[in-house]
Parts: sequence; structure tokens; C-alpha cells
Amino acid sequence: MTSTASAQSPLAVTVSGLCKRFPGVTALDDVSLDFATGRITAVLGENGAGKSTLMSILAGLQKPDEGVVHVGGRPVDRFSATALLHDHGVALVPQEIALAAERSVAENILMGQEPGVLPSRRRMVGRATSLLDEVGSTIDPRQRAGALSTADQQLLLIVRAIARDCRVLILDEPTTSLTGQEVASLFTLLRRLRDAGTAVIYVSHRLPEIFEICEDIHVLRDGRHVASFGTAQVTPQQLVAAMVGREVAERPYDRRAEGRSVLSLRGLTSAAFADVDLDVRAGEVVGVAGLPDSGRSELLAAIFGAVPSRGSIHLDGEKVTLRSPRDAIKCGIGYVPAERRAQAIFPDMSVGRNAVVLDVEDLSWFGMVPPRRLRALADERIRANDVRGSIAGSITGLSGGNQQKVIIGRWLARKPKLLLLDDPTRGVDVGAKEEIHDRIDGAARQGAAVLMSSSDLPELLRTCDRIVVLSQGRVAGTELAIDATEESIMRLATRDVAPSASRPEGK
Amino acid sequence: MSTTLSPRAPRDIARPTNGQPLKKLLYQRELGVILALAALCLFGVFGTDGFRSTDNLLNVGQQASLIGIMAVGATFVIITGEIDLSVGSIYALASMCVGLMLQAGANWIVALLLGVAVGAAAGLVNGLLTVFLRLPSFIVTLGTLSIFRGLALLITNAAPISLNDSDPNVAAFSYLGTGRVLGIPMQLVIMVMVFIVGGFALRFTRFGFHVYAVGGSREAARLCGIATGRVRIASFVIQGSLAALAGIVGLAFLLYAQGTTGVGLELLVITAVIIGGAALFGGSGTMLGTLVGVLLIATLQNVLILAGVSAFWQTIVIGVVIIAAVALDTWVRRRQ
Repeated sequence: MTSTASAQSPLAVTVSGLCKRFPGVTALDDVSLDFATGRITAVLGENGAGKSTLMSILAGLQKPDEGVVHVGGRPVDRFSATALLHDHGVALVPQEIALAAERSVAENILMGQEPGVLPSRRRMVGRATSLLDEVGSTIDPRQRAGALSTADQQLLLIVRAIARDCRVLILDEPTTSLTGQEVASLFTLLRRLRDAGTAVIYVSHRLPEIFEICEDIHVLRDGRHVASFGTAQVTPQQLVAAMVGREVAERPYDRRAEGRSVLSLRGLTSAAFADVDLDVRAGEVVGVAGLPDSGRSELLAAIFGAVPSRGSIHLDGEKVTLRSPRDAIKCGIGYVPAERRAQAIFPDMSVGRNAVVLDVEDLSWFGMVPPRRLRALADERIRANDVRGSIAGSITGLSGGNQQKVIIGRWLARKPKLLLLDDPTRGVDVGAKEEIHDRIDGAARQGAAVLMSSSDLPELLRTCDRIVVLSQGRVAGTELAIDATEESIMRLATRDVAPSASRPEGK
Repeated sequence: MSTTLSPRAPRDIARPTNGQPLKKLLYQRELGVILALAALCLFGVFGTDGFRSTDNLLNVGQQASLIGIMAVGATFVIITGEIDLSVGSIYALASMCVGLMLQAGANWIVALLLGVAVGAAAGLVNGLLTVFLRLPSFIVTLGTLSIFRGLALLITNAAPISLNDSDPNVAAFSYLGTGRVLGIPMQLVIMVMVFIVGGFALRFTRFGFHVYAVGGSREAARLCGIATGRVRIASFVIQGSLAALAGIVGLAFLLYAQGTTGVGLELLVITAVIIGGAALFGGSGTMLGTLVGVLLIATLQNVLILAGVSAFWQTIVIGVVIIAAVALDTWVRRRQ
């Protein structure tokens, strides 16, 4: 890595006064921070704190609205992926790796850097081999890139960055799908790059990893840079406090009367989570907290039969087998998925039709649906849920909050005995959020059992009776909402609950 | 023409203007094709001789009818977000099967029903392969386009079938293609009936609702408990049955069939549906739009012939119309 010699400045990247606004959200608000050469610097923050926006600006995928970025002392005047990669030497290893899966490893590494006008296969393989040797890898450069493991694909992207003499390497949540062994060898490689003078920017919210590999830590919260620490001078508690840091302003709900046990999971296991035991009673709102990769979304989807799982699900004391959402709906389960646009709304349908899509079955008479009754029902539904918008207008014309009121109203009208809500207020404005919380409380008061996952901890603390915290797909702990704090939940969520942890088998 | 176009003002709360621009747009979208058709007719009336004669107009209707019958099926398939390229082959296969049965002396009603069943079975194959092998329907029906065509040729070893209408059974059958009801060609009557039934099914039934839901967002439909696979398979079966019906009506008109009839029909059918405003990736489209699309293609062909434009230019003009119609549609969507 000859490039590092040229980087004399101790600061590889300087960000000053960076602002980025999206419709309705300020993703970055006057952020100023530095990244030093020859050090590994963590960028830490909750969901929506602005980490991803900052990284995509540094990689040239987005343009800042205001502010300046200097790389190696030179200001960046053109924000495009090629400009940052070629002119400034900044490479990003994204969380979702995109490769030319059908082409060879060598072609992928040297893509856009092929030697000569007519690159010979032999020369490309030779160059790729020497680069791979440099990082101590034994991947065959002639292999198809799509056949590599995630860890090797990541390695390939790092090697690609080395091939371009990158001085700044950004890794976005690199360990999400790696095994312990793979993480260890990734860290060894990162330390070697650091020692050779590369500035490594490490985005993660796994505290143990950050303490293991990073020297400096920047914390973002709500789009602002709130604190910076040297790893040696900070405790996990201080970091969590900096990440969370806001007050719970809203009034908590009064206690609800709890009834019979509605949902009971024993040893539920899928690709994303393992051995989950969980009970929800009628009238109870149980929260599921955890980092995005903790398996909380998949847990709800599995209970709804939308993703396969093993283990046992008891509903009202009876064992049920749910092979599809259809089965789950027949058993009286409702589900509001997290990805509203992709999973919940019908973008070509009107607001009214979106609201009554679950009722078509019941309204139909010998397969026919009387349009007048459908319209009357839609009208009633829109009014009952206080949706601000025209019933005949397109659902995509509504604000996120009003869309979500339509979706939740769709399920509440069926009076499900179990309601699964996956991040129900994601992308929802404050006013609508309050209304949705009231709806959830109301459903529980009418006897529904509610299981709700959220990335928003204050929301869970406010609306839930109990909070189950998942970490790496396993239950890390359960807390009563009245005793829990954001800090106590974050501590559980970032705890290392590796499957190797001594855990007595069976009961 | 969906219920979103209710002429009644939205009775509910705040911002009633929210839906208005879209309503107008949707209205205009169908209106656009209708206006294009009207303009074409005006050109026909004033720019050519003989366009407005009753005979010629009925002739246009007759030409439209075979494509129209198939386009009703294609509307279902395309709204669910699928595509069926094998309709021309199913058309040929069904007409050959019915031709053989009639030659063998089978009762024409039985032959008709069995012919439609052959089409339904072909559609079922398309649907099952698409859903259970999780293949794009483009690929599946590209394959069955070839397979069904091969079968149509195979059953008579590529020999054409000629029916003799001195046989009273065949004469009764030929009424489907050549008969007239109150002066209107039977083919046209069949097409209109198919459109009415298809339009009703799409707009007023649970199945129709599910067709829109599956095409709009298959994942959202699955999470709402809609049997998405069944809906898609049913659409292919409808398409297969109607392609067969068209083939049988075509046979009744000509009393002649060969394994190579109906080559390229799939493109005209898909063109008609797309011009009619259905989105190629599913979720939207109406029967009225498809009907107008079918009439537009038939009128265009007729007017070009009457205006003395060569057959080669006709195909070029149709190509231009497809691209222009879809470009206009995309442009309108982007503006909304």
C-alpha cells in the first residue's frame, strides 16, 4: 500500500457544518467531525441518527445541502461515487454488498481498473492474485464472485479498495452476517490496514465490537454530532447515554387489566432468531426491542406465518400450525408489517379500497362484492380512523402517518385476538404517532393481546407493559416497562448472547 | 372505471381536493385513448371513402372481435402483473382440436365445450408452472408458446382441416362465426358478451378485487391473506379459455384451420391491453380501456387500408402507436 506514504496529514477526512434535509426530516444537522489517518474510528448512533446519510455523503452517493468535506486536506467539490473513489480515495463497503455475481473475482476486483485497453485474462488474474496475497487471502481469483461467502465478498470489496489505493475505507455494519471466526479475521485485516496508514471508518451499534477494534468514537443522535470519545476513556454506559440521551416526554398509559394467555411461544426458531420463549396475555402490550439485525422483525413475521419457523406456537392454549398468513388470519391474528410501502399498501388502489381489503371476503355474496356496501364500509372506516384525505384519492398521496392509520384501521376492524405490530410508527409524524399509540392502547383495553416491535425505545417504554429484548436472535432479557430505562434496554440489546453461551439444553 | 371514479364528491373530512387531480388524471387517461379513437374515426369519415358504411363498420367490429375476446383474458393476466405470450398457440391448438372433433362427427356443442376446456388446461399449465416453479411468466409462456404450437401441428401432422357445412352439425357450428343477430355479426355479439362478463368479474367480484391487489403488491396481498397463487393461476386459466374460444370462433368463420393460424396474435392482444391503459407491471387497467384499445387497433388497420396505405406501413404505424401510447402513459404517471 504505497498510497499511505502520500497522506502526510493526520486528518484523513474533515467534515464541517454538514446539513442534509429530506422532505419532513433533517437527516444531518450541522455535523462537524474528523477522521484521522492510521486510526479506526467508530460512528455510533440509533436508527435514524444520521449515520447512513453521513456515510453515503462521504462515499459520494448523496450530496449535502450545506457544509464542506475535506479529504486529505482537499475539499470535495463534486459529490459522485466515482469522484470520491478515484479522486479522493474514499471507498465504501456497504451493508448490502452488490457485486457482479456472474463475473470472476478478478474482474470484480479490477472493475473499472482493467489493465490496458485489451486486458488479458492472465494479467488480470495475476494482478488480482498479488492483491489477494497482500491481505493474506487464498480466494481463487478465477472463481465466480457470486459463489463467495459474505465474508469473502466483503474481503473482495476491501481488496478492490486497496487496488485503487484508497486512503479512507468506510465499513457499514460489516459484521451483521459474519461468524465469530470471520469477524476475527476481518478485524486482523482492518488492523493491518490501519497500521499501514488507512483511515478506517467503522459504522456499527454493537458496543463490544467497537470497544474491541476502534480507537475513537463519534456519536450521532437525531442528525447531530453529540459526543466524541477516545475508546480508552469511555464506558459502555456513557456511550449508551450519549446515543439515547433524550427525555421521555409523553404521559404513560394507565394500567390495563390482563386476561387469559393468548400467545405462547416455546423454542421458536428460524434463520434469524433461535429458541424464543414468549407469552402475551389478553389486554397486554408486549414490546420487542433489539437492534435491526436482532431478529425482532422476523419473529413477528414468523408468528404470522409469513416466514418459516420451527418450535411451538400456542394460541388460546391450543397448539397451532401457521403455514401462511392466510392460516394466521383465520386464527384471529393481525399483522402490520414494518415496510409499509413494500408490504402493506396497494399503491394503485384508492384510500378507501386499501382500508377495506380485508373485508372483501366477508362482504362478498357468491363471489360478488356489492360496490355500494364496499364504499359505505370504506367511508365508515376512514372516518373511524380519522384519516385525513379523500376516500377516492390514491393511497400514495397520503402522508406516512395517514397511510399507517389506514393500515392499522384495516386490522383493528377485525378485532384480532392477537395483533402483531412491526415498528408501527416508522416514518410517521409526531401527531399521528400519538393517535396510533392511543389506538394500540384501545385495542388492548378491548381484550386484544398486542406484540409490538419498535426501533423507538421511548415508544416501547410508553406503550408496553413488558419489553422483551432480543440480541443476535436470542432473548437477552425481559423487563417490566415501569422498571426499564432506555439505557437498561440498550445494554441488553447490545449484550453478547452468542449461541455458544452456556445454555442448558431442554427444560 | 374503477370505483375510485365515483362521481360523488367525497363526503369525508378535510382536504377534499386531495383526490381531485388524480381523479381527473385517471379520467383523462381513458379519455385520451377514447379521443384518439374518435380522431381516427373522424379521419376515417372525412379522409377515406366508405369508412362510415354500415358494412365497413361491422367489418371493423368483426376484425376486432377475435383479438377482443383474447384481450379480455389478457387484461386479467396483465393486471395481476403477469404476461401470457402463448395465446396465439392456444388459439391454434383449440381450433385444431375442435376441427378434428367436428370432422369425427362430434356434436358441435360438445366440441365447443371441450375446445374451451383444452384452452383452460393450457392456461392451467402456464399458471402452475409460473406459480410453483417461481418462474417469470414471460419465460414460461415463451416456452409454452412453442410447445402448444408444436402440439397444434402434431395432432394432424401439420395437415390443415377443412369442414364441410353441408353437414347440419357443422352448419350449426358455423353460425358462431358467420351468423347475425339483428344484423350484427355473431362474432361481435360474442365479444361484447365476453367483455360484459369480464368487466363485471373485474369490477364487482371478490376475484376482481384480488386481481388488482395481487398485481398492485403481491407481498402486501399475501400478508392480507389473499391466496396470490390461486388468483394468478385463475387469471391464466381465464386467458387460456378465452384464447381457445377465439380460436373456435375463428374456425367457425373460416371452416378451415391449420396449425400455423394465429401466429403473432399475442402481440396484438398485449398491444391492445397496454394501449387501453393497463400497466405492464400490474395493478391497474380496466375492461373499458382494453375495449377501446382493441377498437383502436382494428380501426387503425381499417383506416390505413381504406386510405390505401401499404401493409408494411400499417405494421410500422402500429408500432409507433404502441410506443407513443405507453410513452404518454409513463409521462402522465411521472407527473402525478
